[in-house]
Amino acid sequence: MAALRAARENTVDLALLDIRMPGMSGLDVCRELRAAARTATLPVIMITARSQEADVEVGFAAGADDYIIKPFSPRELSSRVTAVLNRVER
Amino acid sequence: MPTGLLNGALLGLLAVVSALSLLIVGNRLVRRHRQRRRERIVAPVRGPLLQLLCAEEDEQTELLHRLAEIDRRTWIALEPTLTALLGKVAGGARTALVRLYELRGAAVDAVADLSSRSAARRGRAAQVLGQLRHRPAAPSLCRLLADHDPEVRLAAARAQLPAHIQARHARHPDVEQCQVDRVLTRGPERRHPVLHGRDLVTALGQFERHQIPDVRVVVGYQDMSHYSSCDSRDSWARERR
Repeated sequence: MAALRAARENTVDLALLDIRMPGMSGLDVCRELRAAARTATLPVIMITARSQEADVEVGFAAGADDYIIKPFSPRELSSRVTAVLNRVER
Repeated sequence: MPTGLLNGALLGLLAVVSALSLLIVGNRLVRRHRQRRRERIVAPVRGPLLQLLCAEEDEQTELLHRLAEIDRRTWIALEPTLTALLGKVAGGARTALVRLYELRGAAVDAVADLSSRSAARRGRAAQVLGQLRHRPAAPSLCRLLADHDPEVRLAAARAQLPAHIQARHARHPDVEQCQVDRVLTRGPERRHPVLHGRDLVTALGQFERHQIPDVRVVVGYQDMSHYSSCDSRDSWARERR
């Protein structure tokens, strides 16, 4: 909830969301971000332990730009964040 | 019923509700205070920790030594974050975290904590050693399978799963954790930490044909107490899959 409020009230470049979060799930936060005009195009990367095809599909269906499965390499995460931000800048 | 008695009962109920409310609010305030205090203590080392996780191998040494030398108070506040990270990161970041634990001597402390009188400390130690894949602790972890506390038994069983199953177990939390918890927590309280006899046969019958191979392996682990070394358990798991 705090993250959603922060994204709405501030200028944010990218959102990294875990699917399992206290309060609202990352999927719900992603849907909320996509539903609001101000954050509809905000790049979103999901980080989650759920790796089955159906889980990934649900993540992308909620509006995620990329999907990273735990355990993940922080350097790979950094590369993906850079790649998503570069795509947005283009 | 006399009015005085009714009023007394209502007042008593009101007092109980008020006391419970105060207890809940007080508990939340204390928890929030502790969390903020922990964040305040950890704040100066968060940056170096993130740098360590993203660093190239040759850049890690200095950061590792810097983090290994933090004071005890900061380490205690940081350790839950490190333990959580061990289960979430892979590759060089994971190796760096394991080296940090080694430099700090935290694995040795965790082995000592396996014999602690506190169930919470025993469980936490089992979790840390499992995530570190600390092979010398395997016999002690096997003994914890007979712990009187079911949560400790669960932590000890999870800690002994081979690395590839631990990782997959983490990736299928909803399915596999449910299966592991279900089997492990149904064991009789005293001697046997897990299902046995007819219950075990029934459980194996249910899960042996499970669509996820690792569930079959995990369930099979219930009958693994006679396997003393991790190597024999690993080969057994490979055969079963």
